[in-house]
Amino acid sequence: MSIASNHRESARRKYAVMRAIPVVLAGMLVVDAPQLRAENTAGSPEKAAKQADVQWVKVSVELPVSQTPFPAGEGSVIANAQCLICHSAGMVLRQPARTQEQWKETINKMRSSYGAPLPAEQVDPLAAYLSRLIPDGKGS
Amino acid sequence: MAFVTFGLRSGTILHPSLLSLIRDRKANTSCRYAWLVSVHALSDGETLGKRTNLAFRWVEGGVVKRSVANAASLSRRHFLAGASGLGLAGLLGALNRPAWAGELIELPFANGRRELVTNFPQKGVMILQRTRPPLLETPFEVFDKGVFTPNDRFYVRWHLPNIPTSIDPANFSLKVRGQVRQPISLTLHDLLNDFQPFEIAAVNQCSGNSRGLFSPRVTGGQWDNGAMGNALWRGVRLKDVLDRAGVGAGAVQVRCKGLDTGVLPQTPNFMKSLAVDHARDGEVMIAYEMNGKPLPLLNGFPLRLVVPGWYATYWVKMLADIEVLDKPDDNYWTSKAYLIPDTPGANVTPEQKGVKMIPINRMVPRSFFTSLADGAAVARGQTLIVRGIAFGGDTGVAKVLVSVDQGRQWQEARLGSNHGKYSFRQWEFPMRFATAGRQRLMVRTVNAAGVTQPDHPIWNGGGFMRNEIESIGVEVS
Repeated sequence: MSIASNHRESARRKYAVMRAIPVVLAGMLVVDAPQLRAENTAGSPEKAAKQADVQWVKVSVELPVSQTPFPAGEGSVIANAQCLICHSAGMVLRQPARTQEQWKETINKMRSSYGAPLPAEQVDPLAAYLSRLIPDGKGS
Repeated sequence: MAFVTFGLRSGTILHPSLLSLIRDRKANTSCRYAWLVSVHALSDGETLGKRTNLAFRWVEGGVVKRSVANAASLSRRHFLAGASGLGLAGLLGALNRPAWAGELIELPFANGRRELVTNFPQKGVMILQRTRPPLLETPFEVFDKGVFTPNDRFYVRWHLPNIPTSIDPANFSLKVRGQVRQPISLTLHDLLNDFQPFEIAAVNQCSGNSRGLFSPRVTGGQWDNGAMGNALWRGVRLKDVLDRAGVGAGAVQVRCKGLDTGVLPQTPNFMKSLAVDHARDGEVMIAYEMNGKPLPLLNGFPLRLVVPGWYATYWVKMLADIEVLDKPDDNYWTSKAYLIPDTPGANVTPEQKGVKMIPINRMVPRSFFTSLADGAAVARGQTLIVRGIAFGGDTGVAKVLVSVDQGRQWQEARLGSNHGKYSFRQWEFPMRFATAGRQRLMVRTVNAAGVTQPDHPIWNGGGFMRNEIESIGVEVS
């Protein structure tokens, strides 16, 4: 990082602008962002010719698999059987604390909007389980 | 023969080698993902006998299937690990353990502890928000390193879990159909050779970036500020592609769809629509390169829609199908999801009811400190160049202002080089802290349309469009 060195300017501004403030504007230096390689070709006449350089290779990847189940507790069997169909448990475990009523809304949204095959009679037990899962009192 | 188990319980995801169990029992099954539903409540260290029943669940052809196997049907090799003391669960857990396991980051909201991971393909260290479908946040220090976000640190956000993991560019095609003169199918070769290339630097920001900071809290991805990134996108204009097919007179919207799908047939396909005039504005584009390289698969390889100035929900990844519609799109993702209150700044109170909702659209301006984190220690009396980034939302950054007195006075920061109106712009502000103690620094930007950031946090039920003035505390000593 560059350090401003213009002390005279610093002193001038100190009294003129910011006397009451314990922070002083000391100079103006900007380090430009590093130029990306790609930018060097932007707008260049050989742009069209560059097209041939694009390397299209087959991409095969493996996505990690979550090892995290829902923690044991009354209702965890429902959570593990239903929620994991479409998403890993972490999405739920990282939510803020919510009431049973709020969880019910979310569960019903999963059923009506995304087609979760959760039977109606499991909504309440699952909402109760989820509301116990993330305890309140950690702050906001 | 009996085996001791550790961590083998309801919800445990099966190691791929155990999936052969299911394949063996059910001919023609090609399941890649299955999990245990029940194991008669085994606890750690309990013995798994040959007669123990294991119930599995997996999804095949969009249908959730269930099967029961007893431990005796597991082939001997599945238990070799048990004989060596690892246990079946050791085998289950042996794969995909994050390389940075144990490295945690505490995001600044309740339940904000997150794991830093390196086990996602083509990605460096990322904040794990969700494994499946992946939600990965960019650690904020990355934004201090330059105005463009490196591809391997660019945040990741998928809606649907079936994401193709193998894509052969030779077999890939982009279809344009619907209200067009002539439906077309373009190969990547066609896009590269038959169209004028187009380049633009643009910020891609999740609609719900910073959702974790909402108060009261709302559900959804609990992001800190790192669900955004800036890249130089290269590809072709959507307009040129649409013109090749010939947009029909009755065209209203252009709907874009990627290759990702839900597990269940009833889960709506992820599709987003733009008004025809927007789609043909000459800036909306189809990118095949990001910062000079093909896109990482998790950012949409091989093609991604780029909608400069608009939230990332419109930037459809793995774009493969473009449909020109003669009536407004009524699909779930355009008409029911990603709605914001039609109020200034999308701001309402949690109690407010009956507000008209509209699809989220243009971004709003934001600015951040990047060289100092909240709570940073700084030396008294020394001059320090405080640095950050800003973007104007749907237009350029006019200025960036810094305040050290709770927003009473604002000093103009010096702006870094201009990469276009949709890009991040770096800013710098030299400071000298004269007195010891805690000091609050604030930053805001004013965009080219004169729009600035609100000094109070906004709220809406979706957790969208947060852009209040940012502030950090520094300890001067």
